[in-house]
Amino acid sequence: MTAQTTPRFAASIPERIGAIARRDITIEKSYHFRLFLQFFNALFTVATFFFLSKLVGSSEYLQQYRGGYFTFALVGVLVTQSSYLGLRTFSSTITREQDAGTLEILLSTPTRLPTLMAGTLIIPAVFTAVELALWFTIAVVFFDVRFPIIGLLIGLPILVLTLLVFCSIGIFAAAFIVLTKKGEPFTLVATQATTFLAGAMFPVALLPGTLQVFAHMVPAYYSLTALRAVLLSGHGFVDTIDEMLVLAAFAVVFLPLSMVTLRRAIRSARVTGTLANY
Amino acid sequence: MLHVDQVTKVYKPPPPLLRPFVRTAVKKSVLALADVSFRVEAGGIVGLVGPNGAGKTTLIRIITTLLEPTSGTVTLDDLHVDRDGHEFRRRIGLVLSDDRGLYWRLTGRQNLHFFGVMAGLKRAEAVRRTTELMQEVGLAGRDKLVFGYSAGMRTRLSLARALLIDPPLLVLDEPTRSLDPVATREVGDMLRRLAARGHAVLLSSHRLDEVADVCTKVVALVGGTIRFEGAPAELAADRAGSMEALVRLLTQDTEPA
Repeated sequence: MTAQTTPRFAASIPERIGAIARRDITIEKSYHFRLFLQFFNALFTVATFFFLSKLVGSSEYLQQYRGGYFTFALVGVLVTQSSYLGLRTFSSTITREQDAGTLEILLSTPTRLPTLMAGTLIIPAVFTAVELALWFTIAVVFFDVRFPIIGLLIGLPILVLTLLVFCSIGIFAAAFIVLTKKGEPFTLVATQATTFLAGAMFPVALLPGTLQVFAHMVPAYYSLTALRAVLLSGHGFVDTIDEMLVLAAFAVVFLPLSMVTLRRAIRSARVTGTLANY
Repeated sequence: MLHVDQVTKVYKPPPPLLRPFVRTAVKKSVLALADVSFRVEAGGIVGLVGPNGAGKTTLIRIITTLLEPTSGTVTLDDLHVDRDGHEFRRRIGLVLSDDRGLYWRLTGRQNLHFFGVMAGLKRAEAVRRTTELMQEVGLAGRDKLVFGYSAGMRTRLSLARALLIDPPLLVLDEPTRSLDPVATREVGDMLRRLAARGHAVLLSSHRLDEVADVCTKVVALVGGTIRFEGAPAELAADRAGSMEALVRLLTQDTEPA
């Protein structure tokens, strides 16, 4: 056998994404105890919200939502967990690859950056989906909560759009990590904006008027409004189109912009020689 | 094959606005490479020698598309490192120094499967090449999590990873740094076999005995400039003896009589 002068390259993008997913699930499986603990974490967190809802009682701010504070907070958790997934996956992957010294090797292969990013998302997305399903199953089985099936189906595209928006912000965060190695402001700001301003844990109506204006600038506000409408208020698909369009607009603007930013950050690290630093 | 032409690299500190966020090793501009030019032909093993800080790793990173030169060009056949980066990467196998660049919680085979697909092989082809290469580098029947491998086994696995796509050019950055003499000799034997098959090999090292033993040509870098280029016999280890002696020798050679 002699060295090839014209190598044959045939692996498709799905094959490459699949290889990244297989790598990640194999590594995750080597940490057996984590999955076991995840169940207990879900059980006790759901229980905490259940008893907290007893304390909150039937506030006038929650009258439009079926199930009171318990289901209101569960939807908040659904959105915050999805936002964490999008926000943290890419930057933590880059940090992990820098630590292991595999980032340089990966970037010296002919697999393109968007493929690497997409592949990286698969297993964390599966884990988050399983975790959220677990939360909702625990709520249904142990705490007698009911969600309309049609609401759950309409909720899926809303969640996908939410994930796309937060992935974009996560890619901005990853770009910052490529340059700074540790510490980026995007995750903190987006997380606080989601939990505080957007109304993940309490209705936005409780905020002072000025802050309510800012709430409308946070993507999670639209996710939460739309999901609560279909899951807790009996609204249909048509009633959530406005929110979905806003989320889609965020994604259309942020996603390409974030990819360009990440490319530029990697290019900058290639110039300064800091690509492998950590 | 590989043509490095007047490559210069200056590391600059980040712009003032970015300095609070971006930390680099340099506080002022540092000339890492100055007008470096040489060739690596198919079937040849070129040794890149020089003391720490000579610019070897900088040059390796430029050739493997991980670092952009300030000026100059690197071409591989008809491909330009900046313009054709994607295609360029399809023709290079890279081995980094030490144990970096492998997933320690995957087995050797799993590492090769993964990097095979990332390098562009279809899954079945990646499996086939993995079996072939595990045999070739002496790791067949010794498949386990990489953190259970010795340094020598990890180096051999890294070499196998670099060979997955059977690249025309193999670039190795101090692959034997943490290996014992026996393992070092095994790597040398492997490189000779690869060169005999038509691979071009660029081997960065600061071990003169290794370079004299394995390479067909030597490029000596000192302070970012080439101070010697020629046959290993002309730069025999017994003339220089050690890297310090080599640096003294090469520095003296360039001083006016």
